[in-house]
Amino acid sequence: MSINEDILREVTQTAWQAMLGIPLESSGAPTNADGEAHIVSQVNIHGAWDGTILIRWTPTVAHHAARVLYQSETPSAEEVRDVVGEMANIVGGNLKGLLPGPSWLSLPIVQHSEGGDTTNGVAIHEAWFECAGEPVGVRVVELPPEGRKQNYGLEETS
Amino acid sequence: MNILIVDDSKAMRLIVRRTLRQAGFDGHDVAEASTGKEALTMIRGKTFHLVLSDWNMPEMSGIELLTTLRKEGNKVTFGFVTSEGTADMRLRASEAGARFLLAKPFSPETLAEALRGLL
Repeated sequence: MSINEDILREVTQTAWQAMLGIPLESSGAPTNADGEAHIVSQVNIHGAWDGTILIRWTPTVAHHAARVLYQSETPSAEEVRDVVGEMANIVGGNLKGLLPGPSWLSLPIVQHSEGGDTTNGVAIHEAWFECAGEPVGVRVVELPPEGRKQNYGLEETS
Repeated sequence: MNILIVDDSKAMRLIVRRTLRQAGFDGHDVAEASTGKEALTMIRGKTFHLVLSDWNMPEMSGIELLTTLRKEGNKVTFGFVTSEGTADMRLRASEAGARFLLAKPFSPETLAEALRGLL
């Protein structure tokens, strides 16, 4: 089995439902998705396949996920980072098994962006969803061959 | 019984604790460790009957924790709860002495099945 958009949607929605218990509806890509402030949680994969699995969150939906999980109206910034990072870890870990191996999965990385897509590589698959009225995007980004020599600081997991 | 949940993610520790309860395993004494090293210190100082550990953690991974425990002669029942569930990882986990490997996301039913007969 390999990754396609349907599998990307299924993996993401299954993780969302099981971990957060909140609806994640399929949708089309929003206009100017990368032009606004957002949070990116990602895991890098290094080995027979090099690239990144990333989830793009609006600050509103990231806080919503943390509020639901911690059942708290005021989750801390660290709790928000933890939730969005762990979701990338779960989605990325599940997708890694569908990519060429052997490969290694990084620990989750969470970054804030004021706008613009700074991802290095080519998005080979992308799926968009809506959660609590806000867009959520998941991308599979393959690193170009010339970018594969850089040091990711990855830790071996398999 | 004493259960130890080991995961660097606070969110995941909360989810594992919640799922244990949903799977009918409430009433046990559940402790948490955020790193493999912290777990090792806790296990050396107290008897645990079950360790549920993440695999991929900073400082000391779950498989390093398990390997260290077995080298020390500790035979605590050990299971992985991790985001990856490849055949290679399952083999490595089994060879190191883990009783099961549960891939995230998981349900109360799959956790209950994995723990059947262990608690």
